[in-house]
Amino acid sequence: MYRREFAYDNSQSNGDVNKTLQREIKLAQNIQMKLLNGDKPKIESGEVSGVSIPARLIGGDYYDFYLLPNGKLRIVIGDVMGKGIPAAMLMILTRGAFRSASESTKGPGETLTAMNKALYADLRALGSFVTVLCAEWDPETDTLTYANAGHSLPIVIENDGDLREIPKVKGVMLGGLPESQYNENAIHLGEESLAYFYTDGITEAVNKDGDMYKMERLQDTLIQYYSLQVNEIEESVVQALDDFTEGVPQKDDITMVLLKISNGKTDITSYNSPILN
Amino acid sequence: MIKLSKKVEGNLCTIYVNGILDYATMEPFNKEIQAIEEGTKKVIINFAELEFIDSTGVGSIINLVHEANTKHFEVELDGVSDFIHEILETIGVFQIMETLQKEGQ
Repeated sequence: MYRREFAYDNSQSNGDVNKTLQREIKLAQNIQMKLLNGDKPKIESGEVSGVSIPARLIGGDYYDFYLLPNGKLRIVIGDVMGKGIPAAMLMILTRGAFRSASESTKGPGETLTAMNKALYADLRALGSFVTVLCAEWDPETDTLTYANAGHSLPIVIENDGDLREIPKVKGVMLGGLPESQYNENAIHLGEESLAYFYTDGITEAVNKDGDMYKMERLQDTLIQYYSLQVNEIEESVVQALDDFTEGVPQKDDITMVLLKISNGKTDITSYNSPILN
Repeated sequence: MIKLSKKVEGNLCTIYVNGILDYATMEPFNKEIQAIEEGTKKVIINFAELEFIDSTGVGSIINLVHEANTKHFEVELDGVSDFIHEILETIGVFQIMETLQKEGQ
């Protein structure tokens, strides 16, 4: 393989080179933001949403939705090892693997198995890995099925504001072992309940005293705001984190995905990703 | 901040990790790992003074475990606090260690 050394026109000053690099980073940031923040699926009598706030100009966290022909919605949230541009490049790779796998697999467990097969060799060669939680929302049965590749489980708040402990499901991160299989678990989500998926940039956010935000504070915040609309819950969590960290620079990417079931039957009505016939 | 020290007794190498193993501090840890001498049969990473590990730090551990499998030495994590244990358990580090060590037997 031919390889060019990093080179630039000697007549260019350091300032020119810096400007070029800054422009390219800005373009990369735009690409990532557009891919991450596409239209969200619209759900009648319910809402889904997601937001990702990188610690640097671009980040390695990832979330996505994929509407299946049978009306189910597949949800994924992931965290690539590391930060910045290297993590962002692998995040794009992960996105492609998720979208390809979603088309050809029956459920979240199979999706993760297919993603690991697709990504394992590259991730191992690069000494990297990705933690991913994949879930599938079935609006017909009000069931959330989920499988886990080394990620935190979602937090579920019931319609009375109670925290619900959901059955655990374990699995090795993508890029850990070549033949990983991923088990699934499932829960019924009642009306007005909230499923909150997140990355560890939230629970590991640090304040001036060096204390972490931790799971307990996140749960308390969700219990306080779960009855709001999903975008308001997102804003409330971000505000609570800002209040906690009091200006301490964000060290890790922060990402959350929310699925909120409202009154009545849920129906996914539209989505921006390709719908298979 | 990270402080590392190493003790070699025959073909046993123990690396003591003090502080934070993350994106900013992984370089000296990786160098210490690369400097493990040929013929070492067992590497113990002592985490008793480890305060925090992020995904990059976990990546270094996983790479060590894979290298151990290739070069036929054993890896043991010692003095792991409950907090760090939960992180490693969630990500699947112990499952990888168990699987690769079974393969190597």
